[in-house]
Amino acid sequence: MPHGRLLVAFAEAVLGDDDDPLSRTRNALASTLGATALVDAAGVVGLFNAIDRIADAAGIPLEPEKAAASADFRAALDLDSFSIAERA
Amino acid sequence: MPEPVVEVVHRVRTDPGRLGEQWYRGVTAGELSEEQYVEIVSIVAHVVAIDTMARGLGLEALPLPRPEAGSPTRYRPPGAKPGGAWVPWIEPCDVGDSEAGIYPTDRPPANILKAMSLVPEEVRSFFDLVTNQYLPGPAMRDFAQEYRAISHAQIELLAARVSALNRCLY
Repeated sequence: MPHGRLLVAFAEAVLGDDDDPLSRTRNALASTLGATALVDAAGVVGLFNAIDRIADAAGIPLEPEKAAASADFRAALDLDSFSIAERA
Repeated sequence: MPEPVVEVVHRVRTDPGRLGEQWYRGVTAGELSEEQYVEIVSIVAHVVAIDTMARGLGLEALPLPRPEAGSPTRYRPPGAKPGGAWVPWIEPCDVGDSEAGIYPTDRPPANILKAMSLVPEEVRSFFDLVTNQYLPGPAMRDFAQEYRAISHAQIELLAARVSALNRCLY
């Protein structure tokens, strides 16, 4: 995927505590993809940092069709350890 | 601020991946109602969405709005009932006039849409943020067209990485 590593590094930096990598990845994203892409990326990171909290706080299950469609890679990546069913 | 409110704000903001049903049942068995819980979660989510975006852009966090005089509606949708989540929610067949428009009409609503339907105004408000910070509903699966300066694939890569960091399966 074009610029995938940079986008992942940006997301990690936004959620992290260190401002130096955030500043570096922000500048790199802006110079590589443009200011609008930076705004869009920051918007997505912000939104999902929030929507994750709604999903976890409301205790919503994965829909059956999504569970079926994702069964193989959930198993491969051990994502089911993130399931609300795994928590008390 | 009452201690249960502080507890919910703190846990949802700092460690959502470890929230459990036993904890939820405990906080809503006391002075905090289920509706108040959902509204608090929504407020935390709104602030997180905006503050995180600001951090990404290198901006100072926006000041919080000033409190306004008035009373909460204390409206609980009559159609809300226990479902698949910890919180009660409204199924599409139980949507009343006051909740009209919170769900799409061309497909079943995703569970994330139903998650805050116990307080319908929070669904409207938060999904307005979704439209602006992520994508409008119809655009989410319209892979024939790109709506942002980054592609659908790049958007989903960002979303997936953030969710993995937050240990959120959904």
